[in-house]
Amino acid sequence: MAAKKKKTANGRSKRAPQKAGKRAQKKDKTKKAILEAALALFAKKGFRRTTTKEISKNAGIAEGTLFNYFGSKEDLALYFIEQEIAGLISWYEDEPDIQEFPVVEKLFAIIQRYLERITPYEDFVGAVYLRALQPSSKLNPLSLDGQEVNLHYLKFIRSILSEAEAEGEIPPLGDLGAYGFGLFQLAILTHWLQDRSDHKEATLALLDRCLTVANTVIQRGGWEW
Amino acid sequence: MGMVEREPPRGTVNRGLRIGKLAATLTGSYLGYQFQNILQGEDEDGQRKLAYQKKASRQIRRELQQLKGPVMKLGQMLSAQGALIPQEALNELSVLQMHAPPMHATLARTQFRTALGESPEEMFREFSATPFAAASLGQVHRAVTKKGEEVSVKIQYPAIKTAVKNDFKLLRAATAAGRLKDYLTKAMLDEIESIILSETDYTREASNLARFRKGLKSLRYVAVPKPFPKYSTDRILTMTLLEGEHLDDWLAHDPPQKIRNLLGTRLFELLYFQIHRINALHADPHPGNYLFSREGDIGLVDFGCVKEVAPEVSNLLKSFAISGETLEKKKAKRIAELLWHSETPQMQSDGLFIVETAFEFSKLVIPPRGSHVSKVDFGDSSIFRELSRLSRIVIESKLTRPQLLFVFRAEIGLYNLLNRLGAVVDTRAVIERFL
Repeated sequence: MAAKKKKTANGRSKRAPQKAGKRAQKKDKTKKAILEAALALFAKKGFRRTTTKEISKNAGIAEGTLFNYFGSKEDLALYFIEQEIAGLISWYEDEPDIQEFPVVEKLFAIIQRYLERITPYEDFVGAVYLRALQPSSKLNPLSLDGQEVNLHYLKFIRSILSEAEAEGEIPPLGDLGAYGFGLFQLAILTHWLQDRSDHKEATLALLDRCLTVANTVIQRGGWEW
Repeated sequence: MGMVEREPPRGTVNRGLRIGKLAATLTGSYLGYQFQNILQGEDEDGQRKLAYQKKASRQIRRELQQLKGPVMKLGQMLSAQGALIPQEALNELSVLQMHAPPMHATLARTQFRTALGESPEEMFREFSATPFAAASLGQVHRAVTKKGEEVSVKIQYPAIKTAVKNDFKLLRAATAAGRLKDYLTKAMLDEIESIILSETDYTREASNLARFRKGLKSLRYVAVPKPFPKYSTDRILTMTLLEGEHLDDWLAHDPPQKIRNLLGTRLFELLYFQIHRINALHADPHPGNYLFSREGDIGLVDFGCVKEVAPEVSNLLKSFAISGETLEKKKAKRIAELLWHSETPQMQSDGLFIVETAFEFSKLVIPPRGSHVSKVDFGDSSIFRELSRLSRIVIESKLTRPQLLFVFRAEIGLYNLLNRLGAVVDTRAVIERFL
């Protein structure tokens, strides 16, 4: 998977022949169509009850072709996560006012936006989450495939934290800050998946409180034991 | 929480508390022992006690402001209850009333959108992302509707109900063992909890607004906001924006005594009008809920906390007002029997003491018929101190009925306001209209 991805990345680069670029673009389009079809079905019928047959039918491709793109539901899930992260980052970059926010609010907005994006696919996300707990799964954050996606995201968070560090908004946290945030986001996701409150508002409150407290603790240089 | 037989070393206790505090901070509750801190200083004397209280209350304020929501609300309620908390602590806590920490814009917007399906910027012509006031369990933003009406939009903090319940669970645990149980009885805590919980439903507040707009119509000088159901849910409340200034700003213009007296008289009438004519009370009397015009008109906001006034309470106040210099023993006994009718004869006779204290209180505020005193100068701090002392007796008594408690709270809130206004009021003339 890692090697495959590299090729795609090269294909997108400016030096590559146009034909290859077009082919990659088409491939990308099909992949997105499959994901879209799959997500719509997951949202409607649930993750387990959706068959590959239905997915290919809704994506307008032959069932066999589907397997050329995604060897398993795990590959599909990994692609989903990748797309979500890409979507989240480009949302962040295009959001007009967010650059002016204090860092705590930026981080809040990012997680909130992330949760809002995955809300229609809660069932799917829950299934992916459980699968990701298995060490052998590609989705496991510590697996090679999982790590690549994860690192891409952490780098994005790292850049936000670095900016805040440079401006003296928070003391230097280094890479640990981003790692810590990644774990925190996972904890929030865990809470969110189990949250039965109205509009999952308990998660929203927890998220806000945790960030506020974390900020206070970081500013103070520790918890007053 | 098991019973502690041997006292563990102090360090362990402190550490335990602090760790507990971290957990509680995240779930939104830890105020119990924090409040105990305020009262713990009572055995110590003089300056040391004062310094301790000052420090403790300042710390509490800092912590409360960070947590916002229900904890802050309780802080407000306690600080409105004037007499309960030492003055130094009160000064610190009163800052909470106007300076609550805001939800940041993203959180407020998210709350709005989840409740109404559209972001405030889409729904209104103008929406100010920065709140202009803290309100019960939320914050208030200015906005202009697409039709051009100026409104205020109250947005509730997320998951407030759970947090309220957490706080009270903790508060009960803390008060069961600690000194606080003498101040906050279980019945009082239950009552306060149910009131705060009902305040989390803004739909209810919207109907309170409608009820009081109608009920107070004949008092021309009072304005109550009009709710907009179209932009409201159980956790968002949109209503007309009232004009006027808060007490401190109003006083800063140094208004003439005549206007102070007029405003004081109106405020006094407003309270008793609610008790005797509407049979319900705006029971959140802190100064932040009043807006005053230069001419002495009153805007009343925040109807989250409305209390039904039981007929026996209204009758109690009336019978006080028609009594002369002394309350007949027989009459006082009958009142006590009425108020504590479900209790033992022993409690009824203990209740007599509360009725008599409450009567003393009433006499200070409303001179008896035929008395040579015709007007009450609320600016006279000795009256206020005496009122505080008497109300403390009533509030701290384990016998105090919750229905009485809120009327008392409203009264103390009002006299606090009149004291700051320095108003001289012919209270007897006002009260006669209701007898």
